[in-house]
This record gives sequence, C-alpha cells and structure tokens, in this order.
Amino acid sequence: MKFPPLNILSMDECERIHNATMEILRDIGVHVGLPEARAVLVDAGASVLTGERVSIPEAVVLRAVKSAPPVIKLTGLDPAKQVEIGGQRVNFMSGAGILDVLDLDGQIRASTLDDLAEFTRLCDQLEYLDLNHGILDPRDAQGPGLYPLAASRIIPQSSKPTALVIDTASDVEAIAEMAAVALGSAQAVRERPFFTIHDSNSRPPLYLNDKNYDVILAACQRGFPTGLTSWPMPGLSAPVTIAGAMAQKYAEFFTGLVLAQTINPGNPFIFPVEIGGAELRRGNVVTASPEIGLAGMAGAQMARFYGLPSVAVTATDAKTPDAQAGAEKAFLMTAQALAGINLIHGCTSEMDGMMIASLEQCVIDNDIMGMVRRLVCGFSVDADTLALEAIAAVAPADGSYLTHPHTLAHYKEAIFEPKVFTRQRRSEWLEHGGLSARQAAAARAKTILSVKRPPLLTSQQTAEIERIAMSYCRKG
Amino acid sequence: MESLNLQLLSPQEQEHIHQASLDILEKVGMAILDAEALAILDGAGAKVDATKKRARFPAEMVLSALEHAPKEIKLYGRDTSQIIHLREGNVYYSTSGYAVQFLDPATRQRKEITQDDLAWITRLADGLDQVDIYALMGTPVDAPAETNDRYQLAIALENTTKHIWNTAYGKEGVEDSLRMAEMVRGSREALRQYPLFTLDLTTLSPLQLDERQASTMVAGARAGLPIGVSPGPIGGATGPVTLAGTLTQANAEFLGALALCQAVQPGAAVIYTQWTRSLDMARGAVEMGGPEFSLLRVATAEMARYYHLPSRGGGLMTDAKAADAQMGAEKMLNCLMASLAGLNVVAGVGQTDFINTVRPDQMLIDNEIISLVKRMQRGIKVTDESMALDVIQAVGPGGNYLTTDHTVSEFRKELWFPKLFDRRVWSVWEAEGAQDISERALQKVLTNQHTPSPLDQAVRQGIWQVIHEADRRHGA
Repeated sequence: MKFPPLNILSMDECERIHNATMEILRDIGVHVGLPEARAVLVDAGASVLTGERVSIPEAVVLRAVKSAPPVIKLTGLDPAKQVEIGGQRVNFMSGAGILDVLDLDGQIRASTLDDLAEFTRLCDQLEYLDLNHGILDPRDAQGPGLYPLAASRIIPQSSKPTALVIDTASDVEAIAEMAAVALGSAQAVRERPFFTIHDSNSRPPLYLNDKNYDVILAACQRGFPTGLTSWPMPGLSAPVTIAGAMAQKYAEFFTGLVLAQTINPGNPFIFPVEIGGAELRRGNVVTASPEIGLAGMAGAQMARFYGLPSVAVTATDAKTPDAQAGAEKAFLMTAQALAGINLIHGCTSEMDGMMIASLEQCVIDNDIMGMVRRLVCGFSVDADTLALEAIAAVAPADGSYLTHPHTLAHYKEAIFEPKVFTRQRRSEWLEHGGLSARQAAAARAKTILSVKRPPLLTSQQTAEIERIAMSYCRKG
Repeated sequence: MESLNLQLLSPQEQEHIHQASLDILEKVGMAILDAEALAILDGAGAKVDATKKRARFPAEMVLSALEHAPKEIKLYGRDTSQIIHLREGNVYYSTSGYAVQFLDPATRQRKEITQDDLAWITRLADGLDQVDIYALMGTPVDAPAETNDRYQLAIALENTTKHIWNTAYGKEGVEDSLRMAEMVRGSREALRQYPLFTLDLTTLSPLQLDERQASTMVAGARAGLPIGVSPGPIGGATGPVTLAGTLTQANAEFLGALALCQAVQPGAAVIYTQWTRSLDMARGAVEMGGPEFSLLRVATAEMARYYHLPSRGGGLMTDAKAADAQMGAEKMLNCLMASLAGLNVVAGVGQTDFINTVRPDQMLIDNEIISLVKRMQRGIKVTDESMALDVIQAVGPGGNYLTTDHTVSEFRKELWFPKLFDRRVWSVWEAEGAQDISERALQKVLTNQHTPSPLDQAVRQGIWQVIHEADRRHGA
C-alpha cells in the first residue's frame, strides 16, 4: 500500500500551535504599515491595537481559512501537464531566485537571462519535475523590470505549470499581460491559470511590508493563485524553538490570507510552511537542517489541519554537487514528501544556500525526485504479488526466478530506474568511463539541451511577450 | 509528539504475508543441508524427508517457536555498561559488510583489505560517536579463507570496545569465537549473560540453509549466542520479482531458521533481519541504494513488530562508486527510511558500491547523516516554553531574538550543529581550500588518532593462540 501522510504532531499539539498563533494575532498583533491594508483588515473584522499593529480575532481567520480553496489546479501551456496542489498530492517544483551559476566547466559566474531560458528548458524536460519556477534572478537584468524580463524568458520555455517570482504589483501586472498573450486572452488566464505568483516575502517577526499588500491586491484582483511567504530564522527573526517560530510565521501568513480572502473571496492562496535557519555564531544563512525538515513536516500537517494547500522548500548548503548536496536534498525531499507537503519547491539546484544554480544539480535532483516519488508509492500486497505459485515452482535450493513467467510479467513495474545514478557493477561502470553523478549529469544536461524542441508559442507571441517585458523596464 | 514510525503495510497485509509464509513453510518447506539440524527439526515436529534433505514446518511448530523467542534482547560492549537494548522504540546504528575492497585514504586508490587495513578501519569506526555496533566491515585477504571468521573477530576484539556482529564458520568457528570472546569477557558464563558479539548468519535463498549455515546456527543457539538471521533473496533472481513476494519468501526463510534455533534451544535470542533487494534487470546488477530497498526495510521493521521481535536491516546502502551526490542521496534516503521505520539496528556505515568497498570518508559522512536523522527523530517540542509567546511579545514586530535569554538558553538543545556538512559562505569556503565533503572527510581521516583502550597483553596472546591452533587444524 501507499504511505499515508506521516503525522509528527498529535492532534492536541496541532491545536496548541493553532491557539498560540491565534493568541499572537489577537494579543501581539502584526505590523501593517499601509493604511489601506489596515482598512481592508478592519473591514474584515480586525482592529488596530496601537499605531500600525493590527489584531485579528480567530473568527476572522477561520472565515478566511474556510473561504480559501483546499486545492489549486494549474494547467501548463501544454494542456496535458496539469497539477493539483492540495489534498494528499505531492508535487515537485524547481528552485527560485538564484543569482549565480556553476558552469558545466566548473566556473562560478553571474547568471544571465539566457541562462534562465536554458535552465527552464532543461527543467521543463526533467521527467520527475512537475512545475517550473523562476529559477534565476539574472544578474544582467537586475533593476526595474527584472521579474517581467525573467518571466518573458520562462513562459516561452515552460510547458509545465510554473511559479513566477515577482517583487511588486507592477510585476504582477506585467505577468498578467504576458499570460494573456500566451493563452490568447485575460479571460483564458483567469479560467485556466498556468502559474502561481510567488509573492514577495513578509519580514519576520510579525511585519508586513507595504508591497506584500500591493502584491496580494494585484494578484487577487485578477484571481491569480498566490500566498505569503516568509523565512523566519530561529534565534534571529523568530524564537529559536521550532514550535514558536512556526506559530509566529503562521500569524504573518494568516494576515496575508485574511487580506486575500477579503479582497477576493475564494482566491487560491497557498500556505508556505517552511522556516529558515541561521548559524547563530557566524550569522550565515542555513537552508538545510533537520529543523527545517521538521518544520516542513509539521507544516504539512498544520496545512491539512486547516485544509489549505502547503508549500515548503528544499535546498542544500553544499558548494558543489557532492555527497552533502545529495544527502541534504534527499533528506528534505523525502521527509517533506512523506509528511505530505503538496508542493515541494527548490527541487532543482538551490546550492550554496540558494545562491548557486547548476545544470548538473538539476539533473541529479531529478533522480532524487524519481526515487522519492517511487518511495511514496509503496507496493501492493495481493495474491499475485505474493507469488506463492512461483515460489513453490522455483524454491527451494538452486532455482532461479529469472526466467519464471511471474518475473517476466512483473519486472517492469518492480524497479525504479534512475537516469544518471549508477546501478552498474564496478567493472561495467569503469568501462563506461567511471563517471561520478556530477559528470553523468553534465552529459545528460548537454544531451537534453542539444535537442531542438518545437516552440510552445508562436514567434509573434514570444515577440509580444518580450515587448511587454521591455515596456516594464522603462516604466520602472 | 507522535511517534515518528512510518506505516506502510496495513495490519491485514501483515497478516496476509504471515499466513502466506506459513503456507510456504508447510507446503514447500526448506532444504536443510545439515544432518544434525534435520534430525533436530524432525524431533521438534517438522516433516523431514532425510533423503531429499527437505523439512516442512507445520504452522503450530512455527507459532510455538515465535512464542519462545525473546521480545527484547540486551547486547553489551566490552564494558558491560555499554548496553544495546533491542526493543521497540530503540534505534541503533551499525557498520556492516564483509567487503574485500577499501579506499586507501593516503593513496586515494582502491585496494584489497588486509588485516592491518581492517584494524585501522575498525579503530576509525570505534571513534565514531553515532556508531553503536561494530559489524564486521571487511574480510582480510591476507588471512586464510577457512579461518577468516576468527581473524575478523580477533581484529574487532582488539580494535573496538563496541558490541560486535560477526559470522562464524561452522561448529568449530563458533567454538573458537566463544573461546576468544570469553577471554575478553572473563568467563563463558559472563559471556552468556553479557553477550559481547552477535552471530551474523544468512540463508541461501530460495528457502535453503546450506551445511555451514545450518550447523553454525545449531552451534550458536546451543551456546546461547544472540543470532541475527538475515535472509537476502534478490527479487527477480533468488526471490520473486515483486516486492511483496520477495518479502514473503524472506519472511518464510527467517521463520524456518527461527524454528530451528528454538528447536535447539527454546528461548534462543534471534534478531529479525532481511536483506531483501532487487535485481535491476536492465543492467543485471543488484540494487541496494534505490527506493525499493528502503521500502523493504520499512516492511522488515513492520513484520518484526508484527512478531514482537527485535529487528535489523541495511540502512546506509548505496550503489554509487564515487563519493558523489548519488552516494549522499541514497545513503540519506535509506538511513531516513530505516530510522523512521523503527528498525532496531540500522546497518551499513562506511559501505559503498553495494557492499563491496569500504570508504573511510563515507564513514564520517554516514556518521553525520545519522546525527542529522537522530535530531529529526527527536521531533518538535510543543510546550508553552517552546512556543515562547512571552518572548514573541517582548521582541515584537520587526525585533531581533539573538540576544534574548530564550535564544541563549535554548539554541543548543533545539538546533543541530554539523561537524562535516558545510555552512560557510562561498568566499570563506573558497579561501579555505574549496574542498567538497569527501575531501574534507579524507583530511580528517588521515589525522585520526583514535585508539580504543588496548586489551590486556595475556588476553591478546590467548586470542591469537586460538587462531594459530585453528590454522594448524586446517593446515594453513
């Protein structure tokens, strides 16, 4: 059978975390600087505690929870590529917002828009990846118009559903225009969204930036799925204890949720449950740790408790695609998939604590995703798979199952076959060049990228999308 | 916190596998190639065909054996205050393998394991804080084949104070092993009371105990040694290709061996183990690092719990040859799943390339993986203190937690600190040599000075005297 989602909290503990979150929202409040944002919250039933701090009662939060859809459906530009984010589904999505690239020749360099197109083209063809993402923040496009330019390179390469990174309301506007070109009309985008808006983060502890509201407003006015992310670092911007960091983070999220559901009741709104990490002695960011895994696992459970779709991140602090990179990626993906995170993001690249992207790591991560997907499927136990007839025919002693009809009937479904991880005997592996996973992945990345694909969009559509992006550079 | 045990097989499926195994034992039976073992089974109620060397086990015989087998087992290190208590809820970590190859950290070349190498590897393992049990990692090529078991045990007794897991070759091998271990423990009686080593035995799949396996098992049970019985059918070759089928056959083989042990000595301590794995048909190689291997370990733990028996299985396995991302990913995935499954002994530290090559760098990396997984197993504490609402209130929106008393008092308890995983910023990592994790581990290994307290000189001489006598008997 399949693994049921792994619960790491008792029902009582879920309720205690919920109660703590409600207490924070009611008694401590969240900083909401923009008067119009406060007005929306007050309209929903919140009150202003002091100055810019807003207190939200539990009933208001629960009404917003009820109004948000439990499942978000996205259809890629290729209509066959559909995902459902919510319920017991586990989907895998690329990383986002990386600044530098580890070249296939081993050099680190600043990322470019061309890299972004290439990474997206590669990830779009990785069989175990469900969604693309704004994997790079190209350094040659920094400044106003960064995210419209990035989206203009992602959309034409992405047949899969995608998360698009933005920073401002104007970025959302740009994406709306580009998406309308890709699907033919604004109406079509509303009816059949192929993307979510990866929001700009709130600032823990308990502080909504002005643009958080602007972005939620811009997305929800158009019915675009979005959320409110934050990256609380235990010991710096959150209590050092995971449970406290969770409750604090959730209070920020629910403020965003109430805004979204007040602006547009029923707007798809995803629940990012991850917490961040920091080396307290040196102040470095930590992106892979057992605590991050635990917060993701418990978060999946809390999202189920609320009936909201969950998202959480995976990354590695390793600097090269080495055993640490493999171990940290495998840990976060496996733990969070078992716990039932609906959307696991960061599943390609995200090295050096989300600072470096590598095509090799994308291909390696694809095999890890494949293993995790196979794992959560479990196996069936029935008269046919128990194979008593085959056992009686072959055993005991020197019999072999290799040529038995039961083996021939079942061997294809039995074993997951990795794309670059080796299963060869050592001698055979050496004959094939004795490649490390990194080398095999580089070769596969090159092979995938060398094949020309039929374009997803017409050249007119692509040109129009680029024109829109450029116009937003000038606006900025 | 909920217990972190995974659930894969439903109670009905476990029952189904149990009944199917009883069926196999009753109708097909096992080939037992040792006359004494057959005679013992005959006396205990099995239906024995002495000419075909086949024993068929009535269900009531197996059920009665299960009733006699101890539910909990205590094992000890050289110092009897080092206790390994195998019972539900406890997870210990172990080396394993009997590999013949070793990556020499000085030359970076792979070489055959000699007695000196094995002693060095054993000392390295002895110094690893996450390794609870030392199962023999190598088969030295410069020791005679007939008495290699004694050399292995002697090297382990000298170079580690941890509990030892080792095989023995036949009745004589068991007797020599007992003589050596009792010199360290003080007396045969003390050795019975405080087992210093566990006898590691397998079956010959499908459904067979060869002469040595059966005679060793009989001698071990008679001597009161704890015995780990590890059937390891390869799905598609020596077991049915379906995971449920190969699991069931292994379960039957274990129960047959258990019935033999209980027939020799009611109450014999037997540890439920499975090394079930799959054949990768496309490549003709055995798969041990993939997701199927992990699924079978979860099922192993569940079947052991079904029988209320202590369990053991592979948990840090990899098919990778290079110290790469595949190695890290497979090791982590396996370790995480075996730990979450609640196997009492998770084995495999330091083994790579299936179980062919000991890598000292990987021993350190595995140690780190175990430490991370253990932190995850501790879960999230949900208490008033850990939710820290008073601290959140005091810090307030936009504040900082770094210098709060709560952070200072809790961070060491709450956060995991790596010894080997990298968390430096890129520039520091580069300035400090830009080494990947394998390189860093190899550097550490080369300067490893750990030596356990030496054995008393007379004991040491006595141990080697046993070996010399054995060699003389075998004409080696």
